[in-house]
Formats: sequence, structure tokens, C-alpha cells
Amino acid sequence: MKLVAHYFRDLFRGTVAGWNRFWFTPTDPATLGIVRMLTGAMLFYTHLIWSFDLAGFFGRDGWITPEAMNKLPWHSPLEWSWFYWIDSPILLWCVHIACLCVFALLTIGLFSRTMSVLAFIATVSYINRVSLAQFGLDDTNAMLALYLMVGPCGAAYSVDAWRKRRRLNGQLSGAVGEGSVANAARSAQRFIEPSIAANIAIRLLQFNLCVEYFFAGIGKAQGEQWWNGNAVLMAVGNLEYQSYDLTGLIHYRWLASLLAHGTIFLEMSYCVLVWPRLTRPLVIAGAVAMHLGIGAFLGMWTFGLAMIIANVAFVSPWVVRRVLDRQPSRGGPNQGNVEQQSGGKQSRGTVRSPNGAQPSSLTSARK
Amino acid sequence: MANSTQNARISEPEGKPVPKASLALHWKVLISVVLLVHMTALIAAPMAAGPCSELERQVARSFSWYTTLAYIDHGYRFFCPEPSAGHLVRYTLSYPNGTTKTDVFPNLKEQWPRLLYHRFFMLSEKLARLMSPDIPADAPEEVRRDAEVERKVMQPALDAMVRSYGMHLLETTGAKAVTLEYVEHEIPEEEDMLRDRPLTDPGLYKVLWTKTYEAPKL
Repeated sequence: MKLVAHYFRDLFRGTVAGWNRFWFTPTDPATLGIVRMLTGAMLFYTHLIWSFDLAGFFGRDGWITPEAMNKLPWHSPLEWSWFYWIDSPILLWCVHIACLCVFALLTIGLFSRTMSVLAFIATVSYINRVSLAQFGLDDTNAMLALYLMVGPCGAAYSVDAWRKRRRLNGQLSGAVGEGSVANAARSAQRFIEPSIAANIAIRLLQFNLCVEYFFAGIGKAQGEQWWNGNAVLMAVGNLEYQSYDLTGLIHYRWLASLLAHGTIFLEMSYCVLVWPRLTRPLVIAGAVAMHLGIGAFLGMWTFGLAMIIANVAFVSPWVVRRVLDRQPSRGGPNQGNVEQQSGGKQSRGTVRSPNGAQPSSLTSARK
Repeated sequence: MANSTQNARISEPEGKPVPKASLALHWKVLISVVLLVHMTALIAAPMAAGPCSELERQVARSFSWYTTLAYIDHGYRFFCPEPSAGHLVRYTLSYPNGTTKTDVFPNLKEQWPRLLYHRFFMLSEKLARLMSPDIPADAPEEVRRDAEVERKVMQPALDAMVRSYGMHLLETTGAKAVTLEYVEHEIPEEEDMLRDRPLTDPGLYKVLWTKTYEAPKL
């Protein structure tokens, strides 16, 4: 009996500790920053394309009238969209251009937190107005926009970060005396220190991605064609999806079957194998290959790229820093933070820029 | 030695500082509750998307206000349960001067970039979701009754949607009438593929229904 009690006590403690570690460990916002930049660009392009037939899709007398939308059995009054209230074509274009500006500002990271909220509202507004014209791309876009709102998405690789750094450098060069220097150092810490909100945002994105792959996998497992290896042949035999004719795969049945079984295996195992560091690169590489294949052969480049952007959530911040900031390998999550925090071998009081700019020294500011 | 080298390649470099930021316990509890609700809602939606139990359906329904507002009510059923035939809308416009014009959407020649084409493809493809499956005459009574209930829900939506497409075409082209044909483009059988039957073979196209609309008289 005691043994059972001990087990449950350990289970509880382990779960709480694991939960805390998973959700509440501060992280460098570098990964969130790069996800913001790529998502902003994808949102901008996705919505720019509506411009080719804006009135046709979002006008009152467009392909799908609001009255027709209301007749859809799954339509809910909670599927909000400001396009339902827009009658004037001029106003429609004004709103559309404003939304494109929001996506552009999100991409460059200017007023990032505000733009992330507006970008999500805009994205869902477009989606809900013409839900019949939507597909997986829109689900992924909305997912990315949703989680960008949660964390400080403009804390790295953004105009916001650049502006703050400039302001900070101004403070440092104008600082006189120990107190001012200490204040400047503290504001620098607040700006680029690891963030719990950034961690929660990235964790949510990772979790959502795992759910998405898992259910995509078990959904396929209900289909006979995925089991007998014919599903990929059927997909490439659908002319409306096709961008390159791959029906020749019929002569290489083993390859078609391998792709079908590999897809199910990847999607169903993603939520398990993406967490251990040893298997993560393999799983991410497999997912990227799958989405590139969807883009290249099934004509859904945008969907494929959006999913690849979502997969970036699994790239550690120190890898992002190393690749984008071209920082030496000694770095790690320390980089981009106020190294004063580490209290280690770095010279105390040195502020390293999040984007790899020349560090400014607090000690030099004293002079 | 080999192990340490491997670790050096796949792990974060050493020298990681202990993060100092922390949250008060009450904040952690509050955020944890919100996270748990969100995660449950996130899973509940796809659980109820396919064949599901009444329990799954009720759980999904209880979160539907949240999943709808946050737009996370997805089934994630891409190419599920398996890839199926494509669908096209072929339309013939009749103009007041007696001429006619036939076109189709989606149409790769007219709709560019590819994403725009895909939007039109979804417009045609998703009409198939509103169509009730054909039930054989010898199907059990219960199956036929369920199909009839579904048809009563879906048919008005399908009619409204097709009418909306038709009226939009009339308004944007100045035609006096439009006839829409819903065409299923079947995927060739395995033997056909082996015999290199082209995907554009007319025998693979099947008209499922036809509807005609006239422009409102001014």
C-alpha cells in the first residue's frame, strides 16, 4: 500500500516538475522572432493573392454571398468576420490594403505585439467570410498567427528590437555615474532576457503541430488506400491537384507504397519522435521533405511552406542565433541575452545585441 | 569519446545560464488552467471530426464556442480517409445577343498564381461535401432514413451555394442565363494508369448535376 502511495506521490511531483519545466522555463525569443518574420511574409503573400479577385470573394455579391454562407450547416454565428459588414467596394479595398500593411509590419517586426493581434483578427476574418475557399494553408496561417500573439514575437529579428537597441545604446552613451549605468543595464535585461511568454508561445505551437500531425495520421489510417499503399498514386492521379505528372509512379509500386506508409508513419510518430534531441532532426527533415513534395507535386507550395514555418518552432533558439547571427559555436542560449546575467566568463556589463551587432560595453559608457 | 562528440553536435553548447525569470505560484496556476483548457479544446475538435462517439461529440460541442472563436476547430483530415476524385464546375453563359461561352473553374490557364487557382478549386471541390451520398435502394431502412435526414440539411445549403455562384457569374459577365454543371473527375484505375490512360480522358469526367439560372429582369 505504501509502495502505491509512493508511486502516486512521485508521479504527482514528477508531473508538476515536468509541467513547470515544459511551460515555465524562460527561453530566448530568437525562435519566436524568426517564426514571426516568416509567418508575416506568408500572411502577406496569402492575402495579397486575394487582390486578384477581391470583390469576387469578399464583396456582397461575390461567389459566396453572406446569405449562402448562413445556409451552411456548420456555419456558426461565432464565425466572425468584418467583411460581412462591408458593402462598399472602396471600403473593401481600404480594409484589404490596411490588412496587407498589418502583415507587412508584422513581417518586419514594427509594433509587433499589436500587429500580431491585428494579424490574427484579420486572418480569421478573411477565413470566416469565404470558408468554402479555404484549405489547410489557412488553418496553418491562423495557427501561427494565434500563437504569435502569446509571446514577445518582436523581441528578436525585428525593427522593434533594433529601435530598442538604438535607444539603449543612446542611454548607455549618455549614462553618467554608477546608478545610471545600472538602470540602463536593467532595462537592457528586461528587453532581451529569456522570456516565459516566448516559451509558452513556442510550446503551444509545438503542441498544436503535434496534434495536427497525429490526427492527420490517424485520419489516414481509416482509409484502405493508405494501408494498401495506393494512396499516393491516387493523389498524383488527381489532375486538379497535380503540378507535375507523377503517374509514372505506377511502374515503381514499391516507391509509391513507401511514400504512403512513410507519410502515415511520420504523421503518427511525429508527436513522439520530435521531442528527443536525437530523433528531432530526422523527424523535422522528414516533415520538410513531405511538405516540399506536397508543394512541388500537388501544387500547394503555400501550404507546404506554411507547415515548414510551423516546424521552425522546433528549432532551438541557439541554433537560430548561430545560423542567423553567425555567432561562434561557444554561444548558446546565452547569446542575445545580457551576458551580465550569466556571471560567468563573459566580461560583466557587456550587452550583446540580439541580432549579432557589435556589443556595447557598459564600462566604456562610464568614460 | 564518440558519445561526447555526438552530444556536442546535438545539444546546446555549454555555458547555459540558469534563467532567472520566474512567475508567482498563483500566476502559474492560472496560466496552467488556461493551457489545459486550450489543449483539451485543441484535441476535442479533431476527435469529433471523423467517426466518433457521443462522448467525443459532446466534449467537442462544449468547447465549440472557444474553438470557433480561436479558429482551432479543425479535423486535420488532409487526404483522409483517402485521396478522392476532383470536382469541377463547368458553366455555359448565354448572352443577350445569342452567343454562348463555356468555361470551367478551377482553370489553370485563367487562374494564376497557383494559390488563386487553389481558391477556385476549393470553391468547386467543397460543393461535394454538401452532396448526400447515393444510397442503394436495397440499403437498410435505418441507413436510408439517416441519409434522408442528412439530405434535408445539406440540400438547401447546396442549392444556396450553387445559386450564389450562378448569380455571381451572371452579374460579372452580363449574361442573361447561366447553366452550371457539376463534374466529377475520376481518378483512373490502376490498370488504366498502367496502360498510360491520360488523366484528361473524357471518359473520366462525369456530370453529377446541372442547374440553370436566369438574370433577374430589370
